[in-house]
Amino acid sequence: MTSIQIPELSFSLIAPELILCTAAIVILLVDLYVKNVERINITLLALIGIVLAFFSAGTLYGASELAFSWLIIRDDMSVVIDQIFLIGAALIVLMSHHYSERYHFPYGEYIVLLLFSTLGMLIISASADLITLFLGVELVSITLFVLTGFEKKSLLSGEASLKYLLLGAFSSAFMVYGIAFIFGMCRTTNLISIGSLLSEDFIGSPLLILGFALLLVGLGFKIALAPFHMWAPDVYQGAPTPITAWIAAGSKLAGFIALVRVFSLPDISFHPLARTWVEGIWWLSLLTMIIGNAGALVQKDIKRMLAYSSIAHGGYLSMAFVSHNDVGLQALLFYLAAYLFMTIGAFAVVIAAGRHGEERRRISDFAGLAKRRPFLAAMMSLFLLSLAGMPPTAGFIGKVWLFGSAIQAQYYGLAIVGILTTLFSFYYYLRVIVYMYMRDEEKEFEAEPLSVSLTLALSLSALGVLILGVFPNTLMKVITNSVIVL
Amino acid sequence: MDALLHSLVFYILAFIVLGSAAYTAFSANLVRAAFSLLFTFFGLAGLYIYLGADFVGISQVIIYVGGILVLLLFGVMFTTNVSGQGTEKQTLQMKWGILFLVVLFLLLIPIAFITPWSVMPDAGSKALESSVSPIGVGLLTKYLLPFEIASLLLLIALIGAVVIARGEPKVRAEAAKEDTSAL
Repeated sequence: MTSIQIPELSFSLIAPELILCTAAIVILLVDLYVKNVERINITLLALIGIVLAFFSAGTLYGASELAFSWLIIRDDMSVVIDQIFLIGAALIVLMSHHYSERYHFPYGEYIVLLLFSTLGMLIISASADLITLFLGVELVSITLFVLTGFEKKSLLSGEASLKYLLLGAFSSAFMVYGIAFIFGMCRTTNLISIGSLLSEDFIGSPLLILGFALLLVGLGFKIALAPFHMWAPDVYQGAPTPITAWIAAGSKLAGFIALVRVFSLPDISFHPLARTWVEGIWWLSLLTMIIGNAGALVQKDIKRMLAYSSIAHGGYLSMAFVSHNDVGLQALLFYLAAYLFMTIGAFAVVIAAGRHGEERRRISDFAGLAKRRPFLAAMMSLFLLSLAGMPPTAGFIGKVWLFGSAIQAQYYGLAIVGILTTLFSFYYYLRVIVYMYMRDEEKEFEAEPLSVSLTLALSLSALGVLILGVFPNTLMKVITNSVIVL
Repeated sequence: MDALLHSLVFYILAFIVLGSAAYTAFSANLVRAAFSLLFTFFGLAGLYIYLGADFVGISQVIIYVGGILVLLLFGVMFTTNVSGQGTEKQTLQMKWGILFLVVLFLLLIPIAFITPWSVMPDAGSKALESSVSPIGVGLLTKYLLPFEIASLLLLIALIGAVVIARGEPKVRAEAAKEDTSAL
């Protein structure tokens, strides 16, 4: 019997993950053993966990290490992304606090699942190995399948959950299949080892290309790149609105980070594989921008419209992989942060504008909102203008940076399509604003007073959009540094 | 002789897997389809053991044959008429499905032949050792973290299943409260 060597366990490097996990389990136990626990206490516990994780992530800046036998990489990029995820999670918890009161969810389980999905995202951002990456993706997906179906009285929610589950399982199968091929060729799942193997041989091995292509398809489903976007509008429409926001912002971000890890950690830029890969993404990006924006033009339901808008944003964001340079990666990270704030903000307004049993779902329902709820209308306009890419919002800076990276890499065609589709997108974003400010309401909606939690979520998102738009330098500096370290 | 025996074992196992899988896919009778899946799973377990992955083979038998298949049969028996009637089924998008399959087939077969497979130097001649203990040691040393993450995954799957399956006691309680307050 050989003695077992326990490898070094550097727990301090995964402190944010550990804190978040502990918070989730504490809430689970509190919800189980304490009778009639107030919802506000659960919210506070969750927020405390998230804030602690946020600050413990902050202490990890400057660490550039591989931990847990090379399964985890802790670099500045992962820290920035962790913090972005945690801010997003806090906003979603605030929104959920309001929303769950309206629909009486089993709140404890809801928050626990939400925290675990955030944990999955943190794991993805710190993955240096396909195994941890896959487990992170599954953690995010499985929690979101359940959360999507939380509105049990709504048929749409159940339908959305089932569709999401079936297509999600399908896409996971693609991912595992791809990972199996890559492992079969390289005999390792570690992304850094794969990188060093690729620099030596296996040039253009077809099985390896197939493996990476399948991985791309699997992740493409998760981030709803066309032509793998079909599930998105139905799921976005049916899911409880805070979860829709989390799927649109958090899960999409996580998918992109997974792509970054898979395709930039092994540093295959010099490899012939990179060519095939860039060409593949080029087509996906083009298709996604066109289909997303064209789909959004004809939508009548606000959540479906935002779903197509989020698909279109997936197209803009994947441009960064085509340009395949440092600027692209920096722009991607910046735009992901900006996108998180504006998307979550827009969905927060959708929640705030409705009340129990009377959601403003159709775009025409937003008519006259400016007269009745001027604050909400102003907020909605801000988020929509940012999504469209108007200065001085974060969306403008992000788009300029992204398109700039494509131009720098001499993909002029793609940049032009990006700019043209952005112009088209103004039509459907401005249409909502026109409805809010220039039309009289067709049907009276009884107002529900804004709760503290929702006001907080709204103003924080608005602050995020404006700060990143007016003073982008703060985040830019951090991102630029983190990408250099990478 | 040895090589012939090896290929013979492989082809028999492969035939069992493919044949029973095809029966599962094309059979109109759900119970028969589910039972036929039994042979697919057993055949796969055989293939794993044939390739020297004894632990995976045994897990296959325990989890798929012992767990999932039994669950599946329960599901089938609860939901359909067991007296042997075929369930109604329909094949949608036949044309596209066939096209997709042909393209996939034409893609995978050449790749299988072109790929320079990395072969272990003395595979076959070496007596195969049990893979159970290296896997166990690996899970508690190198792959400790994924092992723990997988346990979290099972935990959330459990919570999720409970949330989906149970009724809504809290809602009823709160609705009752609302009713009394309305009075």
